[in-house]
Amino acid sequence: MSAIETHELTKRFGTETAVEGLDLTVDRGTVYGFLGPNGAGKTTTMRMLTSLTRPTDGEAWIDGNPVSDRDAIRASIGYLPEEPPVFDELTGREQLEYFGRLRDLPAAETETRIADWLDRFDLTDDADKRIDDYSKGMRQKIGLIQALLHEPDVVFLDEPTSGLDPRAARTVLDVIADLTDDGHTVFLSTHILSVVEELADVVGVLYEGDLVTEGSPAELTARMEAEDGTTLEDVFLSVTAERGPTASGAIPENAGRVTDRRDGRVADDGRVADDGRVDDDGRVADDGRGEDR
Amino acid sequence: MTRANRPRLIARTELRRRWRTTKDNTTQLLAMAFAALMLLPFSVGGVFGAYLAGGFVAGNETAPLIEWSRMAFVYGWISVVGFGGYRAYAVALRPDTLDGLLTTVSHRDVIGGLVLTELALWSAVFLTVGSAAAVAFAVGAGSLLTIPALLLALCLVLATGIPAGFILALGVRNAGVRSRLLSRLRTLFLLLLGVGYLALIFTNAFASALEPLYRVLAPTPVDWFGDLAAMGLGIGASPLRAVGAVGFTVVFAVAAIASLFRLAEWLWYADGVHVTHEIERSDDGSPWFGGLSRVLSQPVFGVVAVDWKRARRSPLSLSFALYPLIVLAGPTVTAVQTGEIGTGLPLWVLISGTWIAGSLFALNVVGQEGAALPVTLLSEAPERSLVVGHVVSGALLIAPITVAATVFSGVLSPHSVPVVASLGASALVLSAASGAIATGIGVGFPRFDAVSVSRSTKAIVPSVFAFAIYSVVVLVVALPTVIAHSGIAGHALASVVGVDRFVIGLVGTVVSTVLACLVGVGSMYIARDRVRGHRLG
Repeated sequence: MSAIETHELTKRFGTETAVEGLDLTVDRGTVYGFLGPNGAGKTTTMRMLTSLTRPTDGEAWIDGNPVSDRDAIRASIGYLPEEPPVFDELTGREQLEYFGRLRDLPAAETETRIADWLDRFDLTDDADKRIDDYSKGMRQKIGLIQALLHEPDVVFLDEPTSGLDPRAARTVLDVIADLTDDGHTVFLSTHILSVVEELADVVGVLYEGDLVTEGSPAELTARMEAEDGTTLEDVFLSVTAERGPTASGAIPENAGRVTDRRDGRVADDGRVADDGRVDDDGRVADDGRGEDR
Repeated sequence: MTRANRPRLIARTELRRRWRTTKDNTTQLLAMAFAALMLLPFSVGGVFGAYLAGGFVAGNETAPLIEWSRMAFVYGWISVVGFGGYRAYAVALRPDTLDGLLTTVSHRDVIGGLVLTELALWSAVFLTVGSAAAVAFAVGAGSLLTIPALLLALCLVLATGIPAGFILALGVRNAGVRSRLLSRLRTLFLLLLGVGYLALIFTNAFASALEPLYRVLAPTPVDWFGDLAAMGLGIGASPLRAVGAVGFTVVFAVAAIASLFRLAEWLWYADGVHVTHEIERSDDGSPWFGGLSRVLSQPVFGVVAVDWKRARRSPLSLSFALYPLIVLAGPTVTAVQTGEIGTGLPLWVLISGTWIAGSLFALNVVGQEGAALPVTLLSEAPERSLVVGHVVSGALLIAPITVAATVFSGVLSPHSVPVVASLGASALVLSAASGAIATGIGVGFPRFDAVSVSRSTKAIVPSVFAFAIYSVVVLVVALPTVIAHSGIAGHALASVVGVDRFVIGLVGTVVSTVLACLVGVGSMYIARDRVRGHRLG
């Protein structure tokens, strides 16, 4: 059973489509790097997977539970939104104790875990100060601890290193790496490509609601058919390039080259399908669509 | 933790957070202390009144006391639902970090916690005063059985009224997030509601407005609380209805819990309508803007144009400038009620317009630049563009309206035409100069941080000190005009000096004009100096 699975997951807001037919499978104990430009639909996807937003179409499961079963989902996930969900009027320790109690954690165990996490994030001395007085990075750390305190099976992290100094960011990256070592699954949304490159087992790039490419960082860079030294950034820029002429009238170099949602290939004859897909044999159908549709 | 404990934990934490927020806000704490001090005589009076009422009940066998008791509790229930609903709408139903809570506990726990929080707050106030009043009433009536009966009735009113208010507020919010029309016109609806509420207060029509609601609720079990409260008084309270009140509360609670859960789920998991801002029409190409850009220098024109665009696109952020309209409410209501415009109304219009014109854009010329301040300060001669620009934008917008409204109401008043003319001249000068007066005061007490102007809108507004000082200065500057044009003082002065009323009015206008020019120029000079010398951090 996969940790996260979606089938044709779709979200529309009125006439706007935020996410279109998303098919994802995230294995247990892996880090899934979720990339995409601003407005691509990453946060909407995360909100659907954390049961905060109902999908318009399609289905999704977390640990085998459908996202419509909110009670079951809540028990198995931890979520750090882009803006850490902390109360300014509480101290860091009170905040964590509060969420620990809401999660039904035994008091003694909660205290131990909180002490350990605070120590790990170098927050022990500031734990009894009001969050109002915390820096952005400290708030981010408290939000992260809160998401991990109950040791959830699946952790959703939206820009977890945002606002952190390099040392704190390194601690967060190490924590994420440790989580997967312990069998937890991490769904990581970020703009910082180096983070994904370092941590992610699989990377998916969302563009205008579509998953335009997916694979391990090494696979994606290899598919670029470019010279040595191709980075994940090159892949990202390529698959999220504007579809069509730029303002100057020129078509961006490599635009649409890696557009296959499944394997990032272009057709053998160099053509790209209208919908960006090619079939498994590397051909484009006569109607301009990839045959694997 | 059991399911019942989570709402209690959420409520406890909410109360703790609210107390800390209040405790840290000296202004709010002082306002609460002041309100408590103001309410103390009413509370003591209420308790004493309860004692007298008890005595009246004990010695009266003819009045329809049980009817009065029932009516009092129905009106009380309506008030709890109304105010509880308003608080739920404005404060409780948009808890902070909702996403964090909803990915931790169920919406049922969250709404339960929020209702418990409000119940605790209301109970703290009502049951404290209510207990004292119940004891006083029982002593006066000579029936100790009344104490538990009254307290129980009060508790049941709160236990049903607060959830009913939440259901009402949830209904409104659900409609709001699903209706594009309601979503777009929310501010207008709230404004109309506020105006309606004030109108009811000023016209003493509150009871008549609530009467239809009373008629609807009188035949329902809400009417039974009055019987429960009157048990033991021997005034004809029905024991069956009293027991029914308890039973009704239980049934209502069950139904309310189910409704609250469902409505909260609908609200918090709703997609909501998306009100997208259409591509904004640029006014810069319009003939009006074209003419203005030729008259004003480009930097000043730029400030004026931005002021007006921001005002049109976010009018709520300028809601502070409407406070002066409060002084207009009384004279306007009087004029509507009597059907006559006295000599005072044009003066109130003049003062309100002048007051607003200056405070709208010019009372925080540095602070309201917000994040753009560093860039603004690095532009060429920012002191000139900022100070002059904000003065001009307020004057051009409000002065014509003030002059027109003053002259219009003046013509309809008993003032003679020449007096109206001098009043109009005063309105023009004062409303044009008030912005200049505001600038120097504003830079002396700037505010750089955004504050909440509504639950969902934050804006950088002038500081309270700046607003207070500006208000006093503007009133002092306008005082000669007010005295010279007022019905009694103007007439008395004309009689003493032996000249026509118009001459007195003209003198008042001239004195106010001289004062406005002196204060305005001085204030602008200070403002320009301070802006020029302003350093960040």
